[in-house]
Amino acid sequence: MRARFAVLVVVALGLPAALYAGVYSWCHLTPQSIFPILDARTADIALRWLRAPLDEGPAAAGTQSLAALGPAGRLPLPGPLWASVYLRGQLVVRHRSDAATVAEALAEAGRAIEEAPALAGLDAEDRQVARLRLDLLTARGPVVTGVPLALANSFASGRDGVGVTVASHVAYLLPDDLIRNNLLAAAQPVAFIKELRSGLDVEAADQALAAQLGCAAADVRKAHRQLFRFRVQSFVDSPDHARALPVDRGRVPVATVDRASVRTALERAADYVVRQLRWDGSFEYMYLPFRHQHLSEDYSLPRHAGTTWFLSLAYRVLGHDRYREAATSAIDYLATHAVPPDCQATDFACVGSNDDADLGSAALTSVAIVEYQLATGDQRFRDLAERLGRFLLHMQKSNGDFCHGFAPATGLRDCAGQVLWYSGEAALALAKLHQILPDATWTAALERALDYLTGANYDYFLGQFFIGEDHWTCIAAEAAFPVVNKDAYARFCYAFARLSRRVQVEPDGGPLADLAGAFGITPFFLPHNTPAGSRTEANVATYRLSVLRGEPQPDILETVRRSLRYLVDQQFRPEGMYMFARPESALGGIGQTPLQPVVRIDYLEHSGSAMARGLDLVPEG
Amino acid sequence: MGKRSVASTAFGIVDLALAVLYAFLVFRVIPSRSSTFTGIALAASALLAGGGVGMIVQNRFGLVIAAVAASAMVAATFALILLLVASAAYLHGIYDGIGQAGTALAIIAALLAIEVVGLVPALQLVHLWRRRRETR
Repeated sequence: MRARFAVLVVVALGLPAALYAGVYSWCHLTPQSIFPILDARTADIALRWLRAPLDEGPAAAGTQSLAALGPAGRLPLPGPLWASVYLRGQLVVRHRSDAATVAEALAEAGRAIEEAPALAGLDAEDRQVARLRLDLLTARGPVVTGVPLALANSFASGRDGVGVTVASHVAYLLPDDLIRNNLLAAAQPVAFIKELRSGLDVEAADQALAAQLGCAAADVRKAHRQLFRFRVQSFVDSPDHARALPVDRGRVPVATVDRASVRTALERAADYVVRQLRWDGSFEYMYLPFRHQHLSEDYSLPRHAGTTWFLSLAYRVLGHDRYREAATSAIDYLATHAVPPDCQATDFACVGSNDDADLGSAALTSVAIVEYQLATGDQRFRDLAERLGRFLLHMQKSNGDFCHGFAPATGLRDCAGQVLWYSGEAALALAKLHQILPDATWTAALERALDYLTGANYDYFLGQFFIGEDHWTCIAAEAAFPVVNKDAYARFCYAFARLSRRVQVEPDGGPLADLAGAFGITPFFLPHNTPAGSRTEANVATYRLSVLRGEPQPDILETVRRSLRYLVDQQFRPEGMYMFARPESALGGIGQTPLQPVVRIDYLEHSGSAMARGLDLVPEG
Repeated sequence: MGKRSVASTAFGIVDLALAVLYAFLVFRVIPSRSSTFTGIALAASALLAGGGVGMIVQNRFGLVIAAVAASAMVAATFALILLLVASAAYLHGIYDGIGQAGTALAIIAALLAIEVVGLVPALQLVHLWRRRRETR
């Protein structure tokens, strides 16, 4: 009986362990197999060689360059080498070489570029702005193909390419191809949750592979058992074509930052926002860099106001007049276009339309105006700020929280619907208003608001275990410090910062290590950049609050520094952007996720504000 | 066949309720794109329902069916856990790690599989074994 039980235990524990080890070793690309082929020196030589035909230099000069590869040139290649030429985001040339060694493959690719018909018609300027990318396959591995959900999630986002063998012909989609064609984060793993998307769009990938092979997508589908994933070592030439820059997940990574690099990032972010300003003072709401397309559907006034706040912050830190002018126009837009007629003759002002005004728009407009006045000394919007402040008081409930909706036409408050951030934004507005209009009324309302947000708002069982998106609350707590300083606010914000820290990707964070500083908990869903910005704004405020209270929190400071590195890394910089149609238009923007370069103005609002307010917390280089 | 047992009847009712729950989950809450998965889940529901009827009827044939159904469900639980282990290993291999959330979800899924699929059949098997020993 005992022996039988022992066997049962061994099987029950041993079988899962053996299964785990077996499956893992079957599909894992081992560190040895993804060992880089080229180092920085040999990558420079390779890129210069491939660049020679573009620069119209004699091919013979390149021969000598390849000899300079030394032993690296004789290295056997585990798979193909690709040379690609991008011109303003368009892939104009791609050559795949299946040669046996690095030097042979580069020689073949160089000849192919030289003879490419697409390059013949390029003028000198085109050749100058064209970017060259080199990919070398380092490893390939199997994928599960029988289960659609498993297949879609069998490719590490931005790092794995997709390959297939059909009738002895092999087609490859490089990681860049998957990013450019929006094939990642495209599958819907749960049938009834349309918003949840993760993994490869297998159908679209089949079509792209079929196009390469010159067959029908159905043929690729039939050959799904021959699908595989592969890793590449990738480089792109620098904008001045002097160096080869490593590429990871479609971007040139930033290893470390110092105050100067964060300052540069801040300036680029603010300049990006200035470029989005339209003639009437509103912003281009969204930008799609792959297509150089602007979208303005569902324009958000709170985001407009928040972005305007960022412009004033940037002006305070950097002092460039263009930020002041842009902030003036953007506030003027709110004053002339966004205060509905039924809120113009009243004691208080609101922001929105006659049918629908909201708390968040009014709160952030106040914040933007106060920051503008503090930064510029210009008091032209002071009265509007005061009237908006009275609106906030009107919207406050007896428990300190706020009603979030208001109908100017009827004068009725809508206290039913709640928007995640509005109450925190209102608290910040009250704290900021006190800075230009010192008055005990603001202070009393502010104290009641913060008491509620850091206390009664979480006064239920589950509320003891989590904190929601309370970044505005903590920014407000810091702004309130000179007039309302309570232990409860600091404890709440320290807890919020600890929570952020727990989900922050560590520099040795395994599969997401390149995204260190972001906030995320699983490699299946890449972190979004907006929370990185908004939580960093809050953490900067919380750290400052801790300093003001004489109890500086080094952990929070470290969280801020890591996040700022991440934000600089995520920003569109000249080194990257080779896949963008107009790099000069995208410069300084920050995408939605590391692989989804769609820019909305509030991504800049949060990330830029975090940079502006956290700049002096970053060590000098 | 021994004398009727209230506990057996209770197990039968729980089996029937679980069979309905599985069918509801498969058809309404988490409909799968895979007809194989749906087929297996429905077969498990039908088998469990058959076992439930057997436990209520409590004749010799019914109890045999109930024992087979409970054994199958315990085996299915083990198979489910193996599938979870294989999935976790696969994702670990692909992504070089599954993160805190992935680990937590895998453990929660395994515990849920034991609780929702395997616990009642395992207790039922113990009950049937004791009942058989008492009637000998």
